[in-house]
Amino acid sequence: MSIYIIGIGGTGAKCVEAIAQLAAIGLFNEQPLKVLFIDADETNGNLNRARSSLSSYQRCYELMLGGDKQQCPWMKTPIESFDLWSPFAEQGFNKELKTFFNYNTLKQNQPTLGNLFDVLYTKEEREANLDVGFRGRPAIGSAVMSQVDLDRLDQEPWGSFIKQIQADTSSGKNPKVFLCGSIFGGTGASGLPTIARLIDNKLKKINIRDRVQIGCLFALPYFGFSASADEDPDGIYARSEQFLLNTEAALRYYVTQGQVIFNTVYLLGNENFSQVKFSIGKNDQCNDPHFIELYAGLAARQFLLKPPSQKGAVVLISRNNIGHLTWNDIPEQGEVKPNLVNATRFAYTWLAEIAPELANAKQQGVDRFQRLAPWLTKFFRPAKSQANLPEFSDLKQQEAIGIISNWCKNYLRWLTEIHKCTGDSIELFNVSAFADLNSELKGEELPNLVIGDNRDKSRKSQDTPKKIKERLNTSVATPLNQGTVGLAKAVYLLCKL
Amino acid sequence: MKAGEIIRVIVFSLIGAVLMFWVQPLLYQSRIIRLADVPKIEAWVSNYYMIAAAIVFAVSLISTVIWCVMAALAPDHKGNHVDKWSLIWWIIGIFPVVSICVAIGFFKGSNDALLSLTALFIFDILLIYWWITATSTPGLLMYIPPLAIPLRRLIGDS
Repeated sequence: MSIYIIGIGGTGAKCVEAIAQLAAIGLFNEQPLKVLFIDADETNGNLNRARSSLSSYQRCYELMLGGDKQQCPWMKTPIESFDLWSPFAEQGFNKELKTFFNYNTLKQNQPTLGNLFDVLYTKEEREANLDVGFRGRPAIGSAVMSQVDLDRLDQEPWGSFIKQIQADTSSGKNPKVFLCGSIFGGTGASGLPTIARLIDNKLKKINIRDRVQIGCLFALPYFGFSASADEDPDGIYARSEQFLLNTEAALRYYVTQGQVIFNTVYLLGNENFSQVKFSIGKNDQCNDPHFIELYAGLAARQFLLKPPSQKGAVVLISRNNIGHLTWNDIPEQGEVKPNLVNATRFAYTWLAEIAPELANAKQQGVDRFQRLAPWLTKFFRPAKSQANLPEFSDLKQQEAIGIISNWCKNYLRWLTEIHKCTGDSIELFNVSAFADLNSELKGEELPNLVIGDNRDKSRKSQDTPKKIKERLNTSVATPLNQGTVGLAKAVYLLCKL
Repeated sequence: MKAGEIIRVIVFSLIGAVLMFWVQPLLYQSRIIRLADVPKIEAWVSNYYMIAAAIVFAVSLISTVIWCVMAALAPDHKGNHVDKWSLIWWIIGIFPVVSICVAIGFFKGSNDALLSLTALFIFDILLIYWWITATSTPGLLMYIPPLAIPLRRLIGDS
């Protein structure tokens, strides 16, 4: 069973990023996740970061191809990307609302409609450049999105998207489509219900709707910002004070018109708004990941693996204490926590203990360094040996080290940032141990990474990087268990609590 | 320490003991190594050689055990920190060498025995200290003693 994930707008992209992180640590199954981003702002910072995370994931996944996924859950889910679709894909360079609707022609040929257009949109809105997205105005976004014609869905990437769903249903699979985005901004609020309706209609048209489940995640307001003092107070940009109003209107639309489309709906929000830097759009609009997105990833997981059986079900979850988030607030803690803990310990150990040693080995020469790191000779051919192991200096091995380190940094960066939400104390990991990834990490913090770790002192005292390195061996993992990949797998398995 | 390492320490220590307290005295008693200035060789072996050998054996074995315990308990796990243990190995290795000087200085009992005793005791400390540590050092310090890598590869414990 494949799952098609559509991230709409900046928040949608951030949700996809969270899904990719959770997929990397083995919280999804081995069925492919197929991802499509939708955004009018093609250079949006949130989108770029999500694409970068996805790319890091895919490069790492390719390294791990062929291994036993049951033994090592890390990187077991293939993620394919349809990349980005923008409603302005064919619009060329002039991305204004009035151009999109041929306003001048409309005004001349159908003055009544033209006047109506004037009533609905101010001059500033009509002439605002939309290459930064819909500027937090669902009214603008809805107008643009509603122009998406069903027939246009045959264009790329929609053509491939629909064909693949069709192929899945033909081969007896029951694919799922999961849309995620904010309900309070511009692109998500306008695009999510519209795109869902278009897909629903298209699937009905080709008679496969009953074999496809559609789920969605509406992110309710969870961050806010203040426009900078030099910003025009009457300018066209998102205003966080309007988020609740936008949300109310969007939910009303969902209740009256969208409800029949979705098999399952997830609503996520937070009382405390995290303060983010004000930005109209483009690269500059890059908000830190938020713990709500962790829940978004878990919602996608639930929709894929254990969806509610009742059509139209609305899934709710709440915290024990407002302002605090602990392991007890994580849904399906028994499955989620071990994977999060394992991956975090691995990424930390790799960056603190393994990658620097590999860098030293490269710098000093493996002949000399193998004396100081006996574990190195278990995975790479030792000097003056005929052992059937990869050469440490081999370009592929060196590249693999970089790819794994890159993923580890990306994951720990994401994890650190979801712990830093204004007004909320996230009590999952001691992220201070890896908050500054540009400085040297102290491997000694390994036993103290997990908050609420109730192992006794003697067990914790045995949980050291030294013990892990002493146990490193190709026999820890099943093939692929040699070279950089084998080393990473062995570290991953030894980091399991 | 792994079981194999502990067993190797015990076995090679026993081999060392057999060499020092049975094979080497036999070399003198059977006149394979002749001591012209010692009329009663049996008395020299029991009054001088055995005491000197006991000193060298004890110091070498204690040095070996100290090294192995320190290696097992060493908190260092990063290559650059592990490297510093080379110096510690050599410092501990000075004790068996000093023990030879002390043993021969006080319990030589024969000028003719000087060269042969020195050679035999050097061989003994090489076996008891270097060989055992090179083949049986535990953990991340396993390759710190000189030539530990080829030796451990030779015995199939690399």
